[in-house]
Amino acid sequence: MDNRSTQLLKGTLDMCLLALLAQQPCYGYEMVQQLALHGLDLVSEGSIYPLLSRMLANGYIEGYLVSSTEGPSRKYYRLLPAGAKRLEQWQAEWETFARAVERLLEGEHSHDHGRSANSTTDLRPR
Amino acid sequence: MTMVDQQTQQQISDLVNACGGYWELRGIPHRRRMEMRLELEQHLEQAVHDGKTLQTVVGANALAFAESWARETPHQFPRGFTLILRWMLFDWLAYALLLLLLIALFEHLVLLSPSFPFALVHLVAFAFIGLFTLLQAMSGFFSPRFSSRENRLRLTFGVYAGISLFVVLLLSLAQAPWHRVLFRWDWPFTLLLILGAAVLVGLKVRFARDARQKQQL
Repeated sequence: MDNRSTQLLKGTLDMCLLALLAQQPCYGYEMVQQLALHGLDLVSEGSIYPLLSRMLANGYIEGYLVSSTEGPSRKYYRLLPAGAKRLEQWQAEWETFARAVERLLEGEHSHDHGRSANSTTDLRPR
Repeated sequence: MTMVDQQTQQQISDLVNACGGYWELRGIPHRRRMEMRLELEQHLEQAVHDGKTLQTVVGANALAFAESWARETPHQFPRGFTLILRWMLFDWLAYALLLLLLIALFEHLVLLSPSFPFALVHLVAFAFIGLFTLLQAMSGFFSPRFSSRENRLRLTFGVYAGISLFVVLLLSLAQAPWHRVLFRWDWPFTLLLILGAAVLVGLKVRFARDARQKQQL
């Protein structure tokens, strides 16, 4: 992913993780794989852990160990009601933000068209 | 999941140990720390199994990664001081005392000197031993960049030698009185120090065994 996409993902990674956990409980590596399936590749996969820790401390998610017959237990995370509420808020904020950016980009685009169509008029000295 | 090769497993193990040591220093409670180690180890193993590098997981700076995770995890600072104290006692002081006692015994038994002069050169040696144990404990953070353990140790030793040489040169240029005696003690005190060193080493072995057992649990 290019640098801009990396920065965009960095700013929204906590929301993406909550959205994944809203679908089903996951462990760390599974979340990275899920993000990759959605076309979101992390530059540093481990960057999810500080965020998960923060969300654990905030009571948005909880962790639990699932024992395995093949090896040591694995830590899974699941969404808590406070996390679901927070995800709703973040989602609403994101949609507002994305719409605003979209409008701006579309506006600039049509403005460019408008400008080229009336370029002679616009540039005429008054 | 298939097993990763021995060298990579060693790389992962060294990196996880270095992070675990750092988190202990940051005062993260034992249980949480063990979970973090487990998560990191499993993530690294799975990533390597999928053909990724350790850097893909922890980034270019493993220490920064360990710090960023520690910062977001509830921790108690006083615990870090206990750890520093434990490191000073059981790593630094234990090794430094053993070296010093070797020199003192040489003075008493071979040179038949009734007292041992503790000079500035011994104090500097004490500091160098402390620096080496600290660098050795941190060498695991080089794991993502250096796959072989020998290269990591070579680098650690290189950094150590560089710093030591710089300090020795600096002190020599400042014409430090290397052999100035700071204090001296008689042979009964050497015997007392031997007893103290034996207790320290015994406790160090016991704590290391307890820590291994806790990790296995």
